[in-house]
Amino acid sequence: MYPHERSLVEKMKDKPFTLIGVNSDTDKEKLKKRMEEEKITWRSFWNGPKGTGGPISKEWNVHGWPTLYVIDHKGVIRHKWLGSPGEEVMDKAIEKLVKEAEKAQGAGGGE
Amino acid sequence: MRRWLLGAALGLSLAVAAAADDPPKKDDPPKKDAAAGKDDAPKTPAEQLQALQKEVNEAMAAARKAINERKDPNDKKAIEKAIKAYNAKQTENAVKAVELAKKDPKSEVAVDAIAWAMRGLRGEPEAMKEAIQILKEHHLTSPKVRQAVNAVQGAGLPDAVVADFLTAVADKNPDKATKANALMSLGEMYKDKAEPRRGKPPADAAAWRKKAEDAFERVAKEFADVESFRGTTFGDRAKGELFELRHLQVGQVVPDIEGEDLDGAKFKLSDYRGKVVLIDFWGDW
Repeated sequence: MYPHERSLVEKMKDKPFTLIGVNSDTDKEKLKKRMEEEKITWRSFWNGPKGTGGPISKEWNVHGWPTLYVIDHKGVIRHKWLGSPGEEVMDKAIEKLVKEAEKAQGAGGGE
Repeated sequence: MRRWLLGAALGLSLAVAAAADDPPKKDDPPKKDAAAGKDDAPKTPAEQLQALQKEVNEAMAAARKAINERKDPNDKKAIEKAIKAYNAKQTENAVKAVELAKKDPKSEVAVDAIAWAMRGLRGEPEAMKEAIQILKEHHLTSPKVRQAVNAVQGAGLPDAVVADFLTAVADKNPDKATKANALMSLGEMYKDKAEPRRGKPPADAAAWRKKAEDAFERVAKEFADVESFRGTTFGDRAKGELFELRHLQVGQVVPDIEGEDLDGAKFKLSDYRGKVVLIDFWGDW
């Protein structure tokens, strides 16, 4: 996942797109070191000391990792993937929604 | 259930692989076929079941041995071959166990045979269907139907057969955890029916979701405090499922997340409204 996510973030850096993680590691310090190594620059919520049993994944009923959601610029859930659907599917879906978002911005600013 | 994480086959291969690390037992089992039909005295049904189980245990031991004694530690093919042979024996004898149960479906041996056979019947929907029918007719109050509740999903049975069985268990079994488990399985089955296939939601998705909600609601109402796995209650699990069904469907406005990032700074998902957001539930493992 990391290399694809890195390239996605890089490719989309001037576009209305952001990657937000919900991280379920228990050891934050160890994780931060790993993130430096892997050049993970995007922001994550921390799911807390209970790891995969933490409050966010519990509320969202997440039982498998990764679980992915794509939200459009209006805040509507457009895709939900239990496990990665593959780079191509992800890229295509995100590019389409980014275009929608840009169009809305161009038309005088979305919502 | 969560098949994108660990398939049943992988689970099994892990079990065999883990077992392979055990020191070899002193008395290695005799060659197969020795157990069955070595004397001609007619066996009781219980003995016949034991013989079937023994053969499968021996197949497990043989697989373990083959894995332990493979020449090249990186020889994945040897491991696969050993697991495949074990699986084949397990399936073969599971089908035989159902045949045994059919001879006297009301007996305790029948329910024992079926409970034991369940795991081996995944690729055998016909035998599974017969097994479920016997349980439904004669053994709904037995604590042993539990294995069947966990095994019927994803076994290739018609939905109606699975739904009838699970509903009957939820209504008739005296054990609360078994009832709750049956309802959770029922709800999960309906929820899965509502999931998009190749990006397109099924036409009757809303109706399936409603059925799923009904099952989970019943769990939340009647079995909220019953303990499930790893310190969770059935109430927790049902609540999670209901939240997902009601608020996390494609086309719905996403619920906000308020939390802290890894540096402890508070932020909200809605801070990023106006942008396309990819939310990734992840871990570095």
